[in-house]
Amino acid sequence: MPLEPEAVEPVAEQKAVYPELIERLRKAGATEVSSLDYSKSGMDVDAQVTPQSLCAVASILKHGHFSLETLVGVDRQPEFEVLYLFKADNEGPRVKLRAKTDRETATLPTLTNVYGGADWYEREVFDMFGVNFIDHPHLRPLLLPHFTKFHPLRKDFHGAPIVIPEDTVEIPELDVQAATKLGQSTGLRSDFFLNMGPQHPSTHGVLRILLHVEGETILGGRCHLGYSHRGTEKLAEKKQYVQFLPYTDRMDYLSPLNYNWGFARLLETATGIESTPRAEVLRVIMCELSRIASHLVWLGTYLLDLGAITPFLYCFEDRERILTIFERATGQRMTTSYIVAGGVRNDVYSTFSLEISELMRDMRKRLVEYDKLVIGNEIFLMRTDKVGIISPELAIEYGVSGPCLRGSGVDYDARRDEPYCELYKELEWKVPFETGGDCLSRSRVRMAELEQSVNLVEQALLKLEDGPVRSKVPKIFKVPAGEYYSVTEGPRGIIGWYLIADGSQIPYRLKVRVPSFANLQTVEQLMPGTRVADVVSILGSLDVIIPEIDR
Amino acid sequence: MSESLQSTSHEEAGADTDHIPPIVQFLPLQKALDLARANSLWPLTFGIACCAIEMMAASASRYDADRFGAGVFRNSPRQADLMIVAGTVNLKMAPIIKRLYDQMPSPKWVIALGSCAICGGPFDQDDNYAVLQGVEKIVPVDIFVPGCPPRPEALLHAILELQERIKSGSTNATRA
Amino acid sequence: MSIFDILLRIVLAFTAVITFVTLNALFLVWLERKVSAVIQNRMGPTEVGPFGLLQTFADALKLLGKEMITPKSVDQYVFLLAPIIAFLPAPLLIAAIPIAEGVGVSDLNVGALYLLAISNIALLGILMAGWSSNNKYSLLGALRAVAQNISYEIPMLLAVLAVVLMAGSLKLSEIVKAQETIPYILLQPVAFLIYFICSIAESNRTPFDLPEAESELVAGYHTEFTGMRFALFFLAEYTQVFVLAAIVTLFFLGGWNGPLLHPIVWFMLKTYLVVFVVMWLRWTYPRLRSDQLMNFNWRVLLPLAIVNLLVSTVLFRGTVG
Ligand code: SF4
Repeated sequence: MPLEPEAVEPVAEQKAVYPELIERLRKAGATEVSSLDYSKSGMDVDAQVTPQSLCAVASILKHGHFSLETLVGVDRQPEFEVLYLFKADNEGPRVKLRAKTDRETATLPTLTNVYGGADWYEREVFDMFGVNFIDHPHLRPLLLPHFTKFHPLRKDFHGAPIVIPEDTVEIPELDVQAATKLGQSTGLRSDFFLNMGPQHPSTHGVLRILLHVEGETILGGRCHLGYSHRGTEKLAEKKQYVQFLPYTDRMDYLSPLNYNWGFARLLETATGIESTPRAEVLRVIMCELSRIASHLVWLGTYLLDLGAITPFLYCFEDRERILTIFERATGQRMTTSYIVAGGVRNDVYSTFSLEISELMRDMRKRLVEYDKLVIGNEIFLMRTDKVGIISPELAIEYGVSGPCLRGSGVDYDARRDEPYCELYKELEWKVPFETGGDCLSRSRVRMAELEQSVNLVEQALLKLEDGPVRSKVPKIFKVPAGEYYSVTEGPRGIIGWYLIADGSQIPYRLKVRVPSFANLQTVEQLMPGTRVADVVSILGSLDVIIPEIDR
Repeated sequence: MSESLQSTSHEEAGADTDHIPPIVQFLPLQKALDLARANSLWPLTFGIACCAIEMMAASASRYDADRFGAGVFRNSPRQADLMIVAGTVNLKMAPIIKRLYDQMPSPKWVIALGSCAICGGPFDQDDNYAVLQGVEKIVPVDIFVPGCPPRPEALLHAILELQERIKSGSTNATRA
Repeated sequence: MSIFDILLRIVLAFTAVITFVTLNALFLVWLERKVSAVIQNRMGPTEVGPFGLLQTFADALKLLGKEMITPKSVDQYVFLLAPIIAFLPAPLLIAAIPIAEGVGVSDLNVGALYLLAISNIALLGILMAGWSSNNKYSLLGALRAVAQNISYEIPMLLAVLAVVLMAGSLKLSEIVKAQETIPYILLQPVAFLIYFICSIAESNRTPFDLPEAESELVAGYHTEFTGMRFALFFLAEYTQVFVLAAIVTLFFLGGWNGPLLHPIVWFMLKTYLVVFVVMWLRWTYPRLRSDQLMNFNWRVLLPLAIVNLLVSTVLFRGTVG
């Protein structure tokens, strides 16, 4: 990112890094603006805002083309605090705004007027902490069922009995209104509601979309999440750091290794433990393989959504080969828990390099085939070209990341732009990006990424030298009190981890910023005016993983 | 059209016929039917979380559940015989699973795939507020497949096991 | 002929046709699963019977033994009637197809017209199914089916007309006889393509399988149907594929004409080859969107069909007449 590492390390005080920005934030009404050490906390600027000045300060950031990365709610006991994390494009800083509200009133102004992408994030905070956002267009539970009365992430909440009330499938009236609102402007009459999901073949898991349609034309739609909400963030507050690792696998089960790495990097940033050179190479190899596997599943299921069944089986065949390697190296096909703080859990087996290079050779051939047969197919082009266009502005406003962002012509890849692994700098590869912003561009970006990943794996294999795979890590793993943020690039985009540690073995608050969340949020903007078949196409091209969103 | 919001259908009419025992027993016919049913288990396309990917893998080339006649994934519960609950069932999802189960025509079977579907798996811990402790609380389960996630082979084994049980007539399902 | 003879003939024909429809559909489903398996590097059904041949019998028997659910909110009578009406044309069509010179239930003198007319009854069944189910996916599926079938009907008729023009008869055996030397696929390649594309669209197969688009509409118009009722739709669909292939064979591939082998063998060979191609397409292509489907028909196929008809009138009829 912004700071060159050499410049950062010797200087302890970081006061003068972004003086104009800090000045502007101050002018807009932020109190206590300070700069932070990026290498230690993962943030550059920290600003306290009052509820009154929140929108004004955020507008400043909006004009500076900052994207809203996530909202983190914290129960500071007694008051609540909401952290707004912003990220500038490749060159700029990361900014954190903090807004406080006391426990009784628990209200904050909404940011949705400035950042459309704040919508779901605020609803999530509303869910988890019961903080009301004034003037939010449709503040209602996002992840929790509408009949629950508790706010799980409050510190005084200690579990609830699992009771299923009778008839709960009914859609609350509020949702209907919200869905209708989008379509009202067209003034069409013969409209009706179409409920897609949660059990629907192309919602990739258990997403539910309430569509407002007129014939086959969509007037508007609303997503309903939470059908696989598992309370991972609450669990994190009960688990030791080491114990939490397996849960990271289960968030995005298509690329567990990338999540492992993200979590390991968070702990490394927080504690200062360094991983070993061999471990770094192994991490790159495994994560790129995992990216390939994940993109293959995307390719297969996307075509399944578009009606072609066969590519799915070919992709899975290739993926099986990668999983076999994972299984031999880590002991599990999917839930690997392989990358840990300080390196990787165990060394790989003897024929590891051999097997992978063979696989990569075959992959190259297969990629050419996929490109010709699938991406070049006339019907595929018709179904994806100019469908579901995410403009760069929309992408930035909503905090879209990963291939979806690069498909919209924004050239940002955390592997290159965040200094989280030196190896990515040494290897020769490029970040593919397209400018169309439609489903086709996103598909092309992913196909190009597959190729780049093969490149990366092949080069990384050559760098694999003998050595320890894990550095010394204390038996009792504690993280010094403080707040840390770390970012890695997963197959779907930026995986961010925000940790508030109190010096014990257990996190005080651990928030995961998942890429699919922001990516999926754009869908409500993309749907109006398209057709039912396009929704499937758009959803598929965003490549979302629902359990990752729901956590 | 716009008044009715639910596109999935309402309560089942045929559900209560389940309990009436057949008046005349046709044993050979019953046997033949059981054999046919065992060999033609059409699963419902229905994945919730990680385990669903392994379920997909089980139907893909390397494992190919179609060999045993269990590869015809039906999207509509009306045409499915087997519900594979693959993933974590939570409070919000549970009523939907119940409803899907009700919408399937009997005889029908359920496989609980993975520790989440069996008992809530890694998520049923202190302070749990979301995850159901096993899908058995809402639908009758015939086969439990342990693992997190279970390997595709395990699912195939479960299908074969279920076939055996159907043939011997010892499952939860009432035979229509 | 006595009344008894006639009755016997009717009963025999009826039995033969129904048996053929069922067995053929079962075989085709098996074939489809095997073809898909080969295309997808899988095995397909192997465990039930030799090569899994009994798999589809098991499926059919199972469907017979399933509970039949009639959801509360459906339109009862229409719901019950829909699968039957959808299935009805299947035997009627098979009955009118001559398999070889003089072999077949009946060789009508307006055979071509009859086939095209009857095959559209199934559409009524689909519409009824979609309407009565009280399910929006079914409804959308049915609407798509109707729109699609009616539009593709026109270029299809025009393509057939070109063939009829050349043969000078609507009688199927006459059309085949006219192809004794050269099959019409060589003389009328454009008509063949148009007809083939349209008939795939008519039978709702990929890339035109919008009415039952699995990934969009769950199961399309038959979403709410269980057990035997669902099986009837299935039977109808596969019979339609067979009929489609048979018509292609009769109109364009020279019917049962062929050297050495018995005419029936030739006919079956050609027909199943066409069926295979249809399946091959299904397992290869993605699906079109509804507006693209319509555009393709009205902007490409229809003009092409008209031009083709005009050109062939001038070329063939002009010289002869
Ligand atoms: S059992 Fe394990 S793998 Fe399966 S859904 Fe639960 S957490 Fe995921």
